Amino acid sequence: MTRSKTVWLWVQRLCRWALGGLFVFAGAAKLMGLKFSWAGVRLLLAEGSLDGFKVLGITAFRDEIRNYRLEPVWWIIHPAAIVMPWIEIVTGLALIFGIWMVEAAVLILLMLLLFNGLVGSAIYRGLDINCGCFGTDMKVGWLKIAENMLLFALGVVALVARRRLHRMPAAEPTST
Amino acid sequence: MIRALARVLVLLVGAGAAATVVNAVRPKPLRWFVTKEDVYPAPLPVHIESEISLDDFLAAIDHGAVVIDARAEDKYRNGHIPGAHNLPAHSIHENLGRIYEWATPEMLVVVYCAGGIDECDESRTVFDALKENGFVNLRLYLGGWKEWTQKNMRISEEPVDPQ
Repeated sequence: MTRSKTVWLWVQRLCRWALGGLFVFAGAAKLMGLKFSWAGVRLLLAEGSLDGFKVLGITAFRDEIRNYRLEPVWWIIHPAAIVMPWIEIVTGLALIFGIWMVEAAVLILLMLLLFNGLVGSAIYRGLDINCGCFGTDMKVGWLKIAENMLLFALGVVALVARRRLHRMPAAEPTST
Repeated sequence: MIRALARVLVLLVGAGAAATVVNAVRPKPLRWFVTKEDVYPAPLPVHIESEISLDDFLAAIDHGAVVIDARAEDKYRNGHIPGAHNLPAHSIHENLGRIYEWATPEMLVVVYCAGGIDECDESRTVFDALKENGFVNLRLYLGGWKEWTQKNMRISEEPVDPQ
């Protein structure tokens, strides 16, 4: 394998694993209604204590969606609370294991665009709410949008790396 | 292209199937179909800005209000309004963070204590602390425990939250 191919292969893998892993965690956190702060993470690392973590159930995620004040599409809130975590988990796993990678990555990129749309809408309307992401107590804001854009970039890089790999010759020419 | 769309559909259908099964086996499944009133209840009619009557309090409970008992722990343990969380006024500043386990600042929160206009300083203390911390939808049930028990309403001695 050429050096260039090795580099692109590992770029693709690392991006897939990072993005896929984050989405599996995000989906699982929503399913459990996991809530924690970074102070809780420090407490876990320093003392092995889970006091900074709470499990509130799926209704916590439903309430976080509700906080976005989606009155025009109120009918989507409960189905979204039920299905969205599983879409994140399924696409995240597909990405980690490289199954239907392009389709899984595209779905994740679309979800990130949707999330940024919602966060942007909340910022525009002046809502002071938790973003409902990853179980943290992070509020909606420009930092959240930047974070999602970074994840979006990871997905794009993974797709670009895959395309590069597919365009490279399959076998190295043998010297005679 | 068709193959890609088919794969996307399979991923979405697979996620939907997993969601349906897991939701169905939950002890309290989330309902798929609800009314707008369930999601975004109409504002309660309140006669006075923040102080509510027993009837308004009962309506608030039906609307999913978070109920806070501002009395001391021992009084709470001896009996409280079913579903009420204990946030004692005497230790409100140390324990205020617990409110975020039960409510977000936009949710309707009703605070009560012993009861009676001259005997409910505890609920006012908790009410003011919550207001200072961004809770915008607060009510005071001034009739409190006194009126609740006088009307022979149902009580509970089981703590809602693990101690």
